[in-house]
Amino acid sequence: MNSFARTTDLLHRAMDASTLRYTVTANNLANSEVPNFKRTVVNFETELKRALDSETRSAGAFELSKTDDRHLSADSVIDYRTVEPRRVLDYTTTEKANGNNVNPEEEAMEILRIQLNYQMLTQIQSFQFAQANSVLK
Amino acid sequence: MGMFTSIQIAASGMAAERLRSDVISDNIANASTTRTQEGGAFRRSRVVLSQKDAGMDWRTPFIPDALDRGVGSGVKVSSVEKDTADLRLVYDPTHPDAIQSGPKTGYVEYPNVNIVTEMVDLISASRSYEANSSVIQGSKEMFMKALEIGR
Amino acid sequence: MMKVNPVSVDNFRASMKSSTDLIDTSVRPETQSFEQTLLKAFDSVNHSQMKTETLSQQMIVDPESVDVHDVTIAMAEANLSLKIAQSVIDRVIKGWNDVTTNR
Repeated sequence: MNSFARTTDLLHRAMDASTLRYTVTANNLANSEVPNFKRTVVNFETELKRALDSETRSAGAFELSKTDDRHLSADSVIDYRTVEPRRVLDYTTTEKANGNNVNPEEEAMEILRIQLNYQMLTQIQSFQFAQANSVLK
Repeated sequence: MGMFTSIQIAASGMAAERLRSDVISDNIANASTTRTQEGGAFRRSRVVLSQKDAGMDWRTPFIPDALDRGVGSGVKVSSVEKDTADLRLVYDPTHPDAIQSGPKTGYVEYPNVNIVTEMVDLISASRSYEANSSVIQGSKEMFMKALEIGR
Repeated sequence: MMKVNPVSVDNFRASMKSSTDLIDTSVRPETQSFEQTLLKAFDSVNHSQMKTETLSQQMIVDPESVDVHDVTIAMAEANLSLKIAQSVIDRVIKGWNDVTTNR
């Protein structure tokens, strides 16, 4: 797909992940006093980075020779469209004595960060469409 | 540096100050507690704060200049320790927790909590909390101003 | 008696330099570079658009590695260079039309 459609699609997916993360963080904040509640996080960006990096692997990179279709290969390109945001339970840490591991300041900071990130993404998205529109005039 | 690093650093400061004010309120509430689970009078707690590095603790002196960002990543609470200063002694032989034998017979051990000191610490923690909150506000405004460049 | 130098036709022409002979009508390198200048301008517009795309992609996958003002400045720059290129093309075409229809 061309560069414009690809950037638009990437921004759209990032915005989807942002809204999911916002809901998850709001849930964490609401349950900050519940005993034995563990906070949830959303993993998306690192997996997307992995998929995008796999498309630009250098030619001299590590390659495995395959004689059968079922053999593993080291240079397969991961399509970034298969990457979905995943909710992961963070059950390893403990913050308070009642088994709860929600830190309210951190969750509040995360809410602010998600808001700013979302504004940034919408700004870039509107820029993309404005460029396309100005060329079509 | 990134867009949100200053917000994360200020948030770690706010969390540390909140813990400090929790410990201070615990000290104040137990200012006259003579009986605790460990036996003896209550001893005041203190919070030890240290700088949070980016994970490289023992290697910090050997980081090459290219990797050294020059700025830390906030504050973390190292430990909450008991103050080992001497307890306050008040002579009161009829008190149920009075010491029965030894050189301090008849004395009651009261906690080494000085209310005035704790109140000053509480005010300082509250001001630090507000200062960190202003840092977050300032970062947010800088971000919004930068977004207006392209508008 | 005055001595008169013999004057031939060629010598006569050579000695009568007119002002129009001073105009150099050979093809000079500068006339070719208008096309090159235009292509270079389009290259720089494309380059600034590509820079915006890479910065946006980098901001999506790793928000901590890029500053917000880098992204917004690159966006404003790309927008401005596109508008300038559009305006230049419009005027070139209008000028060409004016020149060719005024024969």
